[in-house]
Amino acid sequence: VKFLCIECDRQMAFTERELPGDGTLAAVFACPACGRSVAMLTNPMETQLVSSLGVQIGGRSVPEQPFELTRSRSPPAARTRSPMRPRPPLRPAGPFGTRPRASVSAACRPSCAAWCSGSTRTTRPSAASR
Amino acid sequence: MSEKASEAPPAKPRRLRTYAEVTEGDRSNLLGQVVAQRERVTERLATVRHVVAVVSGKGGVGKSLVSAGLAAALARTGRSIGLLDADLHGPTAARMLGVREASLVVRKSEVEPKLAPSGVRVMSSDLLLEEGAPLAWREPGHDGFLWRGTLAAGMLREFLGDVAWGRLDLLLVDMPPGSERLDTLAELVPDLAGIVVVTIPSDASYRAVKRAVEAARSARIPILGVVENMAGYRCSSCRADGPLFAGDAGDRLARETGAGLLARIPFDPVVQAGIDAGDTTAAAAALAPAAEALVARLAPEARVEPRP
Repeated sequence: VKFLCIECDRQMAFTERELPGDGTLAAVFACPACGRSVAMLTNPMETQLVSSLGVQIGGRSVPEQPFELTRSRSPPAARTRSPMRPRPPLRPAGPFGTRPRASVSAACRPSCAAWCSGSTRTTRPSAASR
Repeated sequence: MSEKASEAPPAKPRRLRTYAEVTEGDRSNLLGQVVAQRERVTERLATVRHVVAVVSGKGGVGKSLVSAGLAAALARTGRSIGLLDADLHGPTAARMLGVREASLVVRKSEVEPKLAPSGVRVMSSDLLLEEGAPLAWREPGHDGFLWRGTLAAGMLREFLGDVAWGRLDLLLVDMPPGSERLDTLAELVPDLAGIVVVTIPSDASYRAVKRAVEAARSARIPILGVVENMAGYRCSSCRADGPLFAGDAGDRLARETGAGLLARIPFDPVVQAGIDAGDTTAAAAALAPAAEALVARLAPEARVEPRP
């Protein structure tokens, strides 16, 4: 969008940006010749749509920062330091639980009978391994 | 009074200049900003030889496990591998790869990826969120359906363009279920090398994954191969394989796409236990043949031979 001062036939220059509330963005433009100013009040929904692109209405004063959109729009912002996360607790043994590798024996153990039919059929080899 | 009005000189016709004629410049330059964002992605990926997406039309088929296993298997051979977790709402790849420190170093112009014990460079929304917190956008609650998709696309763009991936032989992108985000990725990365399709044997999976495959085809994205996951159940004690799901979705998709089957992997509690604990050793071993088959399908000039 460009704003033209009709009396002076000059393009009005962006001077400031304000957020008066309810998601409205007010971009103020002034004529460099006569000083007359206007405020462009944006529709909050349209403003949201445009800013979702990660662009700055009125132009950028500094280069785009890394993760600018992500850090400004997703709570909490990207942290620079945080404590180590705990390891997940080991779950009970079973078909969908943890069974330490060391407990695997060559022969089918009685404990696996509930889950394993005792079949020795192996999965079909994949094309990549043929 | 009416006579005076009729004597007034006619109004001077006014001609307003057009948008193009006002040449002092558009300070917002929104289009220029969008173009700059795209260029940032292109410049960042200039040191990445291949970008490959791991996709499925169905959730819960093991895309992240396959992604993590492929990445770890290739990293073990000395290749430089990155893994971008594009499942922004359900990120799991970082933890599968054993990245436990949820912290990021943000530099002036880039963000450092986390380095997994396997050597894979990782970026995930899991590293940005508080423990257990969902990805929720900081905006008014109404009409969010209009812009949430745009924000998610912007986040993916920043993961691609703002992360210091460095020189990579392969950047794997672990996609969320469905094909919508794949379109976004293909637009951000025009020279996407292709996709690896993950399915389970069932007919339901075949039907869902088939849709994603067709979406990729219509976007002219190469299909590099199919991985059939959970193709049987491997007993953790006797290591024998038994049936788990009925169906032959892997074979059908491989045949219909002409891409071939990269691997058929049983559900293995040993692999799963390792992945749950952030240890990719077993997953890398299970996916190693698939990883080599995948590399063989990439452009020969960009292949990196494994170290002896």
